[in-house]
Amino acid sequence: MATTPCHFHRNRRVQIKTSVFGVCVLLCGLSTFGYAAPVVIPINCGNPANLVGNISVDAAGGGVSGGFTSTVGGPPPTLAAAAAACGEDHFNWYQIVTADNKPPKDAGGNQIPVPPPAYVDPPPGGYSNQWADQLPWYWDETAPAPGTPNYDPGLQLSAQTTVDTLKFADFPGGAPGTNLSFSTWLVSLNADGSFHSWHEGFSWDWTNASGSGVASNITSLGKGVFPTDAQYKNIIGGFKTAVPIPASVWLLGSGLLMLMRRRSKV
Amino acid sequence: MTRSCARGLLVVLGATGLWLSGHMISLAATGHDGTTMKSAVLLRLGFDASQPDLLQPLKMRVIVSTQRLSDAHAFAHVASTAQAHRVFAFGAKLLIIGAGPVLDQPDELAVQPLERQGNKFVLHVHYTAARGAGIPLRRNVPWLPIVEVALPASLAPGEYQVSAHWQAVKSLSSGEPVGAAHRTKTYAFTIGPHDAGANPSR
Repeated sequence: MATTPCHFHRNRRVQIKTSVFGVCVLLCGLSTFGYAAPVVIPINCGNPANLVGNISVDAAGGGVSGGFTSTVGGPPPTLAAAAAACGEDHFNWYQIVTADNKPPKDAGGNQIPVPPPAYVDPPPGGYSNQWADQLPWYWDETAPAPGTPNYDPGLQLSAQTTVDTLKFADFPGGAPGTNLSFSTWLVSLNADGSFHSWHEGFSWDWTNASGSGVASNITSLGKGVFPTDAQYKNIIGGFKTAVPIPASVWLLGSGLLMLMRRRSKV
Repeated sequence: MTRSCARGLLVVLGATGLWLSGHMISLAATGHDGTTMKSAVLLRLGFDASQPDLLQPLKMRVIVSTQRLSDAHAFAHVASTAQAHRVFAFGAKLLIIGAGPVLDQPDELAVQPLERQGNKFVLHVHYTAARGAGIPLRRNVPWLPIVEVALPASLAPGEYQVSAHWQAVKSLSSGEPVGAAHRTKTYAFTIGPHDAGANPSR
């Protein structure tokens, strides 16, 4: 049968309808299995501002996961190139819990008060069942002495970093009825772990209303929306501001100084 | 001049040694993801945000292998290529490699002595389940426990079956069960005859 223009248009309409139906079925199927479109947040650095990468996070399986992936350097792109474009050493995350009706205990066994004020996740030293370093950043920048209880090397920054991506993952838990809200920002740090500058972030919720946890409402906090004093300066009092210099390095330094002094005397 | 120089050099060398040893200790601590528990080895396969769907298909699997896993990530390959039923040469050193349920960051486990009923082996593992107990978890990255346990040496030729029972407990010290155990499917394997003349590591 020859295809007339009329036949062609009708066939196209049928094809388009079929495609739209197919996409709807696919989207419905994906939403049924808990997959939604990830939230993508562009990160710009420099003057004039240039895109250095994107945060992409998604809710699935009772938590939030994703990361910041560099789009600069190489090719292929690298996190180091993104950090250099931002004039800093490396990236990490800064996360606060803005709502928590059943807060945990800190590393000292003290009950964390119900927010407000928000608390940093993890608090200095971590939780009663989880070691964390003394910096306010999400992934640990330093490791404890061997044998330290409740230490998980999988929470080290190095374990959550690839050549081009800083990963993010959080799968909270709590008794039925627990309701949590988080705000999470990408942060630029100096080599010693001290703060350099903020980047954009996202907020999200977690609830255990029905006996199994669900993460939801991942929302970009907006361009240029960084932590307020109430979300950072006012709540980081118990943290260190940089990685402490090990005593062995002080010893090395003093040894070198002593050597130089002796040589200058001679 | 020489003596003072040497003394200074000694101080510098000593300090450098201290600094290096500290670093090696911390490297060993961060690079270590396997814990030896008598005859069992525990590996942690952490949730990876770049492969968010990796853990679910691997959980509650048990296989028998002649080769130790080089690391937790090797389990994904070993599990995906494992045959449903395998024949091993007589005398081969065999390992049960089993993955349990996806656990949360503070959870711990203890491998119990291997149970044998004739030609059936059951690997019992106790684990704590913070999530099930309603313990607050905030910064939490899930992980998949993988255990390696040696089967008795020199199994006689014949047909064998292996399964694993993962039991949540209130605490590892009490061993008091919480709910029913998760049971893996049974993995069947055969030990070939004495005179097969095959390489035991087949």
